[in-house]
Amino acid sequence: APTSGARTSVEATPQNPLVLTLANNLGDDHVTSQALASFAEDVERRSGGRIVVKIYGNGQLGDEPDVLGQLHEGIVDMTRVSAPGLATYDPGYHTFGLPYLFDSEREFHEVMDSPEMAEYFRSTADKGFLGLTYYSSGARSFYTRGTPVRKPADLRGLKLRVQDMRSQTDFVGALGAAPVVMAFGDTYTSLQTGLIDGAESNETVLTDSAHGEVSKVFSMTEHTWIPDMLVIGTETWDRLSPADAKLLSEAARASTERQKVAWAKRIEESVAEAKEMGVRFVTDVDTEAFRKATRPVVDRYAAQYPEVAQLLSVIESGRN
Amino acid sequence: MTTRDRLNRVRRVLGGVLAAVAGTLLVLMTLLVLYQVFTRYVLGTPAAFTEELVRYALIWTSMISAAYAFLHRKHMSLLFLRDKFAPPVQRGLIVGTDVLVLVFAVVVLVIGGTMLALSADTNYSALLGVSRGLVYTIGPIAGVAIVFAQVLNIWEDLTGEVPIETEGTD
Amino acid sequence: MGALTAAAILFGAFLILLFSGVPISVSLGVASLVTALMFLPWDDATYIVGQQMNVGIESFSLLAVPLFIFAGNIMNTGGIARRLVDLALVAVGRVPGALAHTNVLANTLFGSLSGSAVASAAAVGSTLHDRQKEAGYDPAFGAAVNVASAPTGLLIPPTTAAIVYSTVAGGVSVSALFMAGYVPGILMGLVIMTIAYVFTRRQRYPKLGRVGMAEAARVLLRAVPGLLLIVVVVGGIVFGVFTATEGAGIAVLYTLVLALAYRSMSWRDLKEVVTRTVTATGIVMFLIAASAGMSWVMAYTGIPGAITDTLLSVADSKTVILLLMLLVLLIVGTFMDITPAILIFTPILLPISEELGMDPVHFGMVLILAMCIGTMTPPVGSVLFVGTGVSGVSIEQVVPKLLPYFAGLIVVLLAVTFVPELSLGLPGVMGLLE
Ligand code: NA
Ligand code: NA
Repeated sequence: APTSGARTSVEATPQNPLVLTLANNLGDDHVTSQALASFAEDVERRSGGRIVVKIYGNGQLGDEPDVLGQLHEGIVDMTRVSAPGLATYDPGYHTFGLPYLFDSEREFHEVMDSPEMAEYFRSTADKGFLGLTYYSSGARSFYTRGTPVRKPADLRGLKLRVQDMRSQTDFVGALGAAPVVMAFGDTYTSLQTGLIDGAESNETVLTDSAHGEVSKVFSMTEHTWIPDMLVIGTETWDRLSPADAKLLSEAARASTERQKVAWAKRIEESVAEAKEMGVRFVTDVDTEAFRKATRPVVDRYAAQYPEVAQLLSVIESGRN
Repeated sequence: MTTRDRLNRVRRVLGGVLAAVAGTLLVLMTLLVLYQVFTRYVLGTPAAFTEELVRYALIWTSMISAAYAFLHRKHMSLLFLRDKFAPPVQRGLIVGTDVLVLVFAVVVLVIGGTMLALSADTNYSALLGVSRGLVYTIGPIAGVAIVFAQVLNIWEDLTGEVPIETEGTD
Repeated sequence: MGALTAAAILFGAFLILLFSGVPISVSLGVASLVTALMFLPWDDATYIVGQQMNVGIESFSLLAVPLFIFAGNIMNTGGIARRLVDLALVAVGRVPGALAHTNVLANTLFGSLSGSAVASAAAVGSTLHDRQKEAGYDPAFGAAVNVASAPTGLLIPPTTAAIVYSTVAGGVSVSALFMAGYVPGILMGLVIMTIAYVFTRRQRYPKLGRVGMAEAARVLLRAVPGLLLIVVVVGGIVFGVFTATEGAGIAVLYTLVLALAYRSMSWRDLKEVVTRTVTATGIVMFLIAASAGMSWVMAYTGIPGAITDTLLSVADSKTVILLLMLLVLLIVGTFMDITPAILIFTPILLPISEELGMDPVHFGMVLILAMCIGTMTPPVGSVLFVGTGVSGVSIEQVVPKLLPYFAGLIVVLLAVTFVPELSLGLPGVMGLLE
């Protein structure tokens, strides 16, 4: 925590506000970055200028694991991370990287908005952080240079770029593909040159990162719904009065609702744009076959981590 | 055996160990990179672990090599201004520099590095499942090696003994 | 505390340490730590500098740097450089001032392979020095040509300068940077040849004897494996057959096999090459590590944004701002080596250039070219030192002879800055730009 400014929200005044740093490694025009900016404005307004959220965007303070280290040390106060990245500190978060937990967007939001999930987000204070809210990152699917993916066998032998998380290499490996971990920035040229055959992400990657120029088939396998999390360090959380803690939580929740709408709109735009780029969307995917093929991975994680098993049951109960 | 001989022997042994470890890692990384290409084009299934292993090995190689370069006073510095001062001032600056390097190694590499290693202890890598805390132990290890190197250098500064070995670099 | 105060502390501490003779890497690290201590408690400040120094070098792409240094060292020891000089001799032997042109051409060829201007200046300079002396060349003139042309290899791929820049610039495509370097690098070589031509005509240095077809073919054949390396490594990287790091690994294997085939490297030589590579790796990577600490502190305290705002409020014309940037870079280049200069100034100047609408690939070329000029100026010029060292003349003798080349290279720098097509044309045609 910085040595200047107010230490706690109780002693904070508009003249000497409590400044909270928020690290985010998405670009400033990303839908979720805009939600974070609106969250910061909201907090400042609701607190009458006593609490100021200072956002460091574009990954200025480092990659997600490094920033989580900084959060743990109390150097940054809040950060937005992809949910499975938190598994380092609470293995339960591995769950969000596992395939086929949700059937639809509606179900995903139902579960994520449930009181049980909110309770889970708050349960990790002893591990150095608490979840304030989640943001949707859509459903992730496989996209390739030219191979349509309808059933697991279509993936056999394909070199696919995955995110640097064990859950991702595990389930893509289980489908018979060869997972390749590489920096996201290298993916475009690797697709272009055929160093890899495909990758997996949501539809916006086709347009925002121009991958639609070099991979022409997007197969709607919708294998994972990996949310982003807005987390706050326990040390910082303890410096907030109960009223201000509530204020922050409410502002966070409100930003999620705004982000949902903006995200859905963005996906729609991306799909339309991608079609113009000549990307073909494959919709007749045998989801059940994929679910069956990857189920052992889910079971293995549940067996290995009691926290995963617990969160899976939270998801199960939230699904009604 | 004089003190100087003993210290020179320490320098030779330390230098030999650092160079051997860093050199071995360098060759190992070259082989891993080549193996990665080989598995992709010849075997058709790219080895996934090489990328991660190489990343960690590079931290180790760099830190050990940095310690080696401190031992031989090879780090890039700007000396044209220092060389214009009177000899006693120059000597003061040289000793001050070597002490500062030692303090930096203790504060940032040994203390900061230990904090980093401890905080990343439960952070397991995606593919090999090794603890990143283990990877980051090289900070304190290299830090201690630099402390040894600087003690030798400072002793040399104070006694005015000529460095026994100097190597050409580019 | 404001960003400009932080900037004053950071750069003030850095400059004091730098000019006191503290290693550049340690000056960067200590200045970052001191600045961080103004904002954070000591344990946080220590942790963050320690963290950034480790994660700053945890990068697969950065491995290309030590591997290219490794390959360059093998080439130097393994007789590959000499074969390239022989080829250059045959190629331009009939032009007046042949040995000077040979020097430029060989530096372009060899520097292109080794990726190091210093290695190039040493290898080519020492090979040609005696022959120039025999032919009656003024050794100071010869050294000046060698020093001026050695840095072409920092622009012409493969080049570690581009890889370092790509890393600090946030992953700018190495392939695009590699292709962007050809035109400015070749332009640089041509300008030096032209200036050398003017001077040698006045001096009436002898042409070389005519070389028979058989001899020419033999020399070419001997140089082919070395030349092929450029095709394999640069081609492989640019066309995406492998990454820059893998290309560098292949360069090591290739040069090693070649050196063994030539029987020009003993086991002892190899050990020596490894040790030299370890030393260079330690220097460069520790610098990169320390600069990562500085980058974090700069981002946290908002320094780059504050500098950009200040500069844009002082001058509002794009041309004036660009000229100011060039001036800063040329001044920096006089006393700083290329790697630390790229590491320190990219985070500060890249945002400004983006504000001006420059492509990061274009800005990278401007930055590298400005630093190329810096490597040949006193008081700190690695290429100047090595280049004069191998020809046995003093720096005072060489610098006056270098002045016309400086003038020519500054014209090239202005052209590369204000004509983006010189850098972006080639990568653009190949579809490497975003
Ligand atoms: Na080069
Ligand atoms: Na210079």
